[in-house]
Amino acid sequence: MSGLLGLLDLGAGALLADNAGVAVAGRNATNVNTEGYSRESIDLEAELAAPLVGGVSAGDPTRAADALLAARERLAQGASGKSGAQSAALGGLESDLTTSTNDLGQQLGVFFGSLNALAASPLDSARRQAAVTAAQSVASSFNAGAQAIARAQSDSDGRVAALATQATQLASQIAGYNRAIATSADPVLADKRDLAARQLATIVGGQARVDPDGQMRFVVAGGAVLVDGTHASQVTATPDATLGNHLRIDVVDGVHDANVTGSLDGGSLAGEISFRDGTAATAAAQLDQLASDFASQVNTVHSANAALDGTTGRALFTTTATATGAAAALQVSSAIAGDPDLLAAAAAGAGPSDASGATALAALGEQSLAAGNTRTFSDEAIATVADVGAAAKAASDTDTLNTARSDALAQSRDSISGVSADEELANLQKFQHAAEAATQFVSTVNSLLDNLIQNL
Amino acid sequence: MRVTESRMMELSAAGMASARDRAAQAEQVMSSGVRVAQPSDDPVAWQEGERAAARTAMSQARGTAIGTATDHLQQTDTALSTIADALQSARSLAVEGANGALGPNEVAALASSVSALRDTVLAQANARDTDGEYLFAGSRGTTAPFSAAGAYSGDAATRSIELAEGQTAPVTVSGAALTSASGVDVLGVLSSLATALQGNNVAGIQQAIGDLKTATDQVSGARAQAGAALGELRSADNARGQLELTLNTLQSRDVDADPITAASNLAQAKAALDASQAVAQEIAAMMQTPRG
Repeated sequence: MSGLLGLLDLGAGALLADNAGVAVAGRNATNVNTEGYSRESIDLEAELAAPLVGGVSAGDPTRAADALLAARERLAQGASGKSGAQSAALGGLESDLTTSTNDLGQQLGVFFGSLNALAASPLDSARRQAAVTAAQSVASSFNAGAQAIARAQSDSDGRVAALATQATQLASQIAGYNRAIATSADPVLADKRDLAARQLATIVGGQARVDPDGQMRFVVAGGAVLVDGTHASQVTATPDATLGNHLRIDVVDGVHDANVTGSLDGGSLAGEISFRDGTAATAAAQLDQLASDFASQVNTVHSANAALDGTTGRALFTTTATATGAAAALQVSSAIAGDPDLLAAAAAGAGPSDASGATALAALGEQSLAAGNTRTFSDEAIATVADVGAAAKAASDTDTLNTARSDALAQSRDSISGVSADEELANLQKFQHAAEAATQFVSTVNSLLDNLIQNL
Repeated sequence: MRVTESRMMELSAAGMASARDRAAQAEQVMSSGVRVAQPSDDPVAWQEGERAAARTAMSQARGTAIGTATDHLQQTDTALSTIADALQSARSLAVEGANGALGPNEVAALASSVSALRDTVLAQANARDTDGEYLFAGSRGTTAPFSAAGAYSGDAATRSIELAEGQTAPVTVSGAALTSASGVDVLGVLSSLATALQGNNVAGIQQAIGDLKTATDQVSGARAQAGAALGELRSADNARGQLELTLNTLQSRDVDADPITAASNLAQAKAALDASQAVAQEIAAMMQTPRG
């Protein structure tokens, strides 16, 4: 009789194992579309024969995941995050510059052309007004270009602040999962941690590793530690005067404060910083230098020549004393804007219908006086915008490659960890049939026991 | 390689989105006729197109200047022509007055005619262009250059404009061409002739005939100067037209879309989109196949 009771235990064990299989297959099937979920499986192990015959036991669910692939995917996400942020920001700035500046290169061409037209008829008030209007259009174009770049940098700061907050939250989540994993073997915790780590890598780049104790450690370029076991640092974004009051990124763990603004090598944050402090800053400096050179050269010639009333010494444009901020501040002199007769078209000492001044001003448009005396003003204006466009194209091409790489790695991960509804359906049926067999076995043993008891 | 159902759906959707994006870009190029709408489309071509456009703007302004200068010079030449005719008529009257065939009263009557010719020359010397600028005042174009007595208050300056990139040329004639600075004082010669005729001063009339020849040569010289400048303006304007044609061709080559290539690209993009949509439908049908 004790043997029959042992068989009942064997049957019960089989039912437990089959129920576990059904449960795992069911969990997989219900999470088929859950982001980051890794399919689980049950390892069935035959037990040693004791006392009569052995049974089966099911181990804990194991998740199908590849740590090396996960690390490669985080690196790819970091690269993709960086190039994606750069590409989007540069595309926006390029679009703004090609509309808001209203073609600064052509505006400069129209301005210098209007001076040549004035030279043919210096007493013509309409020609004088046209030249002043053209000068005002140039100034407006410079202003609009500077504002577009400043706006792009400000928008970038807005995104940086949001990304820093998001990074802090993700780091905290990873630390929370580390804490839970220390006391629970649920594979879903590892899935959630891996997903959070991928999302964090998309923002900050960096590298993560899982130590033998099962705890994840996340480090960004430069060595700043974002997550160390159950402890998470904060990613802060604060205005910095040395960056023109743009945001600097720090990793703060309560004791140490690491400035990672210039050291981040991947992630959206690195992309935004590269755009804001790199291409956008260069474009702003280029535009400012152009505005400063333009105003300086034009004013030098203008002040040496005479207005209609014979007076000299007037500047045509006003702007900052140094190049910084010159584009945003460039304006036509209010006196000349209000009275085009003050435009210095004649040579000093000559009569009012002399046009040497206008001719000399027009000639500035064909001389290489910009970019360290290597380009004309118009060519430099065009090159400034073209440089942004070239950077946008390069970033877009890089992003296409990085996105393809990320997608390929995601596909590889899905190949290992993804849930196939067909597979899980087959597993369900497999364990269902096994459970039916175990149930039949238990029923048979039960009948034997009943028969034995009745005949005792 | 193990491919899950969700991955198949994602790949299908991504493929369709990519095909749709390419079709939209091809449609944009086809409808706008522009291949390079912004720098990132083709940075080098965009830059060259913009430079051509800027040079075209400056060239067009140069055309305006040439047109204005041409009008001014044509009016100058007309005035000089009238002056030349007046000098010729004055010379005929002087010759008539000096040949001794006329009596003193008749010679005196010729003086009135010469005075009238002098008034004509004075009016032309103080002529203004359509913008109100005195043609023969040099750089002092807001003030009549010649007084009633014939004194010149203008200067010898001429005005230059740019005819082509880096090339300038004078496009006005100074009133100094009508003064002793260039030979004889034209108005003074006519005044002297009128006085000599009034007094039947044959010697004075003979002197005036010689001065009139010099004056006529001066005016001819000024007309030649104006004519040469007009010729230069015409040549410059022709060259400018050719330059703008070249610049437009360059700009079109760099920026505009080739219609045949654009149409072909659009057809290919639409075919790819149709194919991706068909594949997506097939995959969706497979996913809906009953199981179990």
